[in-house]
Amino acid sequence: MKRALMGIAAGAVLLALMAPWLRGGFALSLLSQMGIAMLFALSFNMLFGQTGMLSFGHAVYFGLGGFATIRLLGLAQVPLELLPLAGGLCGLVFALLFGVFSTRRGGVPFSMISLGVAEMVITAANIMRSVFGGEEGLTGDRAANGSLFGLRYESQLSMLLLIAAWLALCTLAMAWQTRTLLGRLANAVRDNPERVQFLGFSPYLLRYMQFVIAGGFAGIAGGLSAMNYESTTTEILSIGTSANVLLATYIGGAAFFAGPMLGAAVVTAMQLLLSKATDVWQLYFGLLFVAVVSFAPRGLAGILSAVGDAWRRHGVRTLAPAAAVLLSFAAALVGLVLLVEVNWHFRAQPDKPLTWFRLVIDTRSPVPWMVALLLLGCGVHALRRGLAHWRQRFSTGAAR
Amino acid sequence: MNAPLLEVRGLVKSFGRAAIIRGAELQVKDGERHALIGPNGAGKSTLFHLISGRIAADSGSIVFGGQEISGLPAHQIARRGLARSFQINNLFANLSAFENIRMATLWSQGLHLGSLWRLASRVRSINERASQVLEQLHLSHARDLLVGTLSYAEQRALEIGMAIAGDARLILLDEPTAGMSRSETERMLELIRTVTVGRSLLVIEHDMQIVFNLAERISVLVYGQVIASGTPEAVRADARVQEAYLGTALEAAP
Amino acid sequence: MTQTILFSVFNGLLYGMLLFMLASGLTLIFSMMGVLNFAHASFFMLGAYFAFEISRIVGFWPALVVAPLVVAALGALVEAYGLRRLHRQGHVAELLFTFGLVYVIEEMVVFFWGRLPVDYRIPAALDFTLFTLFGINYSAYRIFMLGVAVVSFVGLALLLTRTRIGLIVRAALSQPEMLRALGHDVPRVFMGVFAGGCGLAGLAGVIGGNYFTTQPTLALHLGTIIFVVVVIGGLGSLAGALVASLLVGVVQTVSIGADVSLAPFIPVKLSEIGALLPYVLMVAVLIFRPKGLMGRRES
Repeated sequence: MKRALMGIAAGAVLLALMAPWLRGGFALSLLSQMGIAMLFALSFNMLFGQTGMLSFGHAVYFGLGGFATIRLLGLAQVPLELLPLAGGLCGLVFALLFGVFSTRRGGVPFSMISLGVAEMVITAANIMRSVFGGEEGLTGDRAANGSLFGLRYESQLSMLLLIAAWLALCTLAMAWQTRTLLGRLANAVRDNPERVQFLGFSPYLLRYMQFVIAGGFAGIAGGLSAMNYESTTTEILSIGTSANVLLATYIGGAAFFAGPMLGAAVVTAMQLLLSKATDVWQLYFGLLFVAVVSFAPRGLAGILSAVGDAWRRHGVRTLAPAAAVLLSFAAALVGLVLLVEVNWHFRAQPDKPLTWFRLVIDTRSPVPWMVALLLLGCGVHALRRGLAHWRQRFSTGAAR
Repeated sequence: MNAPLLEVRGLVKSFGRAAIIRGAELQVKDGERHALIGPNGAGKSTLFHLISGRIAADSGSIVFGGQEISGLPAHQIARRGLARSFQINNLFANLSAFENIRMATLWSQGLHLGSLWRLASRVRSINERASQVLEQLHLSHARDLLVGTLSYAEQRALEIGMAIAGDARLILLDEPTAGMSRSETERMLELIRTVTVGRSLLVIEHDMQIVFNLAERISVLVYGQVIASGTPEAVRADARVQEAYLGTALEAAP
Repeated sequence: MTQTILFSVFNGLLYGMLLFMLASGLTLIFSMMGVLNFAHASFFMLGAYFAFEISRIVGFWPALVVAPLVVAALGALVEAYGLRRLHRQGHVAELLFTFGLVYVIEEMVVFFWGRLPVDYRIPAALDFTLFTLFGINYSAYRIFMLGVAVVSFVGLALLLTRTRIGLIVRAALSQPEMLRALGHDVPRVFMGVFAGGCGLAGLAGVIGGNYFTTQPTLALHLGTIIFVVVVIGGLGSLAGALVASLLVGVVQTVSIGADVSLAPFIPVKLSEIGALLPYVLMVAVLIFRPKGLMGRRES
């Protein structure tokens, strides 16, 4: 836990140091979205990493929180700083409701039920046009709200600071929660729900409590989202939103408290930046997810943790092997991306050359294809050898 | 206290068409050390599952501490002071040894649903009790190690520890020495003796040395029915028991 | 009025049989391997796209045979090189893998065929009205679809109950360890079941692709419906999957086709909430009968 909080603090300090460069509108918007995603991912991991409950419908509580909040946007009597609480309350109440039958069992049945409930809510929301605003959704004006400190939150920077404040508060709250008796019992339920019964506790009830709290925090994140965009549509409830937070959490590393935050930051950045660079960014996402599930189940945080451990024990000797692994990974990645992009471009516009940074590539010639395949092949081969070498020398043999 | 702590009457359980428990009768007196023996497949573990509430009986009654517990969910039975261990280690793999035991101490130390908001490290009673139990198990050195990294014997000891940490009145141990060497078995025997002082014990065992060294009374389960129950000498002399075991195992015991 | 209801019920049964072709494979895979194949509907979609491509070259009838086989082969590869490695990491990892597969397959489809629907048409040979009942035309293709679905159902039932392979599969369903002890290559059986399930999904895609529209979002849409079906029918029960498939198929089709208003109770038309009904049904089943209509397997 100390490491997690130190890591988070380090990230925050880094951010503060980069502040002069991050003044631009895009940077502020990116950071705001990251903040919201981080909070959402933390709430998701309360279920997944902490209690072993894989939810495919966590966006329900996020989205409903957003809708509750958007309705209070623009009301002068309501101070903006407290608005996320409305989202949180909404998320909590619906989690209380749906949790009754959703959390009776864990594991796969729970996942299926969460999916079904999500679809039910989405469909219902699309039907109830008066409540959810139909296709255009609902909008609001946060500048018109009241404030506890007499401020007006028109600028993106002010919104970012508000998000940061709520993120900090909720992160501390959730970190504290993991160390409570409920947090510990939740871990026990994750590892062995049957045994928990024989210790006198009902796994159903424990899951339910976690579910409700997680729903509340998701609602807060949803509220912040509504405030940030000043609009909400039923898209916020979609399976895509649920899938996104799952992706972010898993890629970041569900076994670490700060893992989801890392994953959310990375995934948000990738989504915003990558979508500008290429048409097929969703394919990369899918591949990344499958790769993490197959080869790095402890996520980015897991990789960092393993490298950190190796550094602590072996010092400088880790540098060369680490560089080897990194280089081969980079080569394989470039090869893959080149292959995909060249192929895509060839299908879409075979006559025009593909411009990549400063390179101009004629996709009709076999050369870029060969280069790509070569890079990919050699990269993968070198990567496998590099990893095997690393494992042999530095791995403790503990959880991979 | 004349009434037995645990009384099983006419218990029946079938899985599909296979009748596993066919009218079992068993009594465990307060403070008694009682062994349950029988050939493989007799249904001993199933009987444990029925008593502890893991599965529900088809018919019959289980009375614990004067109250009917048959049909109650497992967690409610556990709350009344009935704890069990498992034949195959059934621990919390990703938690430390200390954390495993600490989880087992919660209910008996009065930390019920209303207290779950409290910080685990701040509740003195459970931390002290957990340390105490670990000490008894000779596992204090493994306190912060993940259970998955412990040796088999250490995990087995922890498995017992989970059953005793909660100050249960009746402890069910399912083959506690399974897979252990001679010396490990001796140590386990000593451990069981020490930690069950003042409590009642019902233990499933195949190792006859343990059975005869530990138990005050023995019940023999064959094909889902208890065919004999009494002192070790009486059971050993019982013709039906000898027939069930073909006599060899019992003659080998001291 | 009766003819529209009759037509709706017929279409509903047809839709239900298609759903069952998907749900049966999903149930078998889940029962046997404990893996919930999220990408099952994606294989359905691949079947449709492959059939489209193949029928463009050699016509519909070869596509009907070849496309499911290609999909089955793909399924076998996925199981052998993807899922099998994750087996020791537990069910969650396997579930997540198939989840990621949905995205990858969808994007690969977009990559090769674009985002717009492709022109996968009903074969001309079957594009006529077979008969007319109460003034509604029943196309030959619909009857053909029903036929294929029924034949595959009967085939599956016979395979499972009358053949040696079926015996092995059913044994693996309840006691995989015992089967292994008897010397059977259980991983091979798993791969076979997975491939078979995907092949069946692919076949459903071949005949269903031109019934629905063949587009990249097909998998996502159908995917959740079959999960609902499997939950309602009971995780792990084939009979339950059949009942639930037909139930959901009929309920959804009839309600969407019905021009009935629920005005006294809710100011909304039945057709509008038609899409909602399967999910409400699922939630109701979960509340009152958590094991599903006929489920036995508690996971």
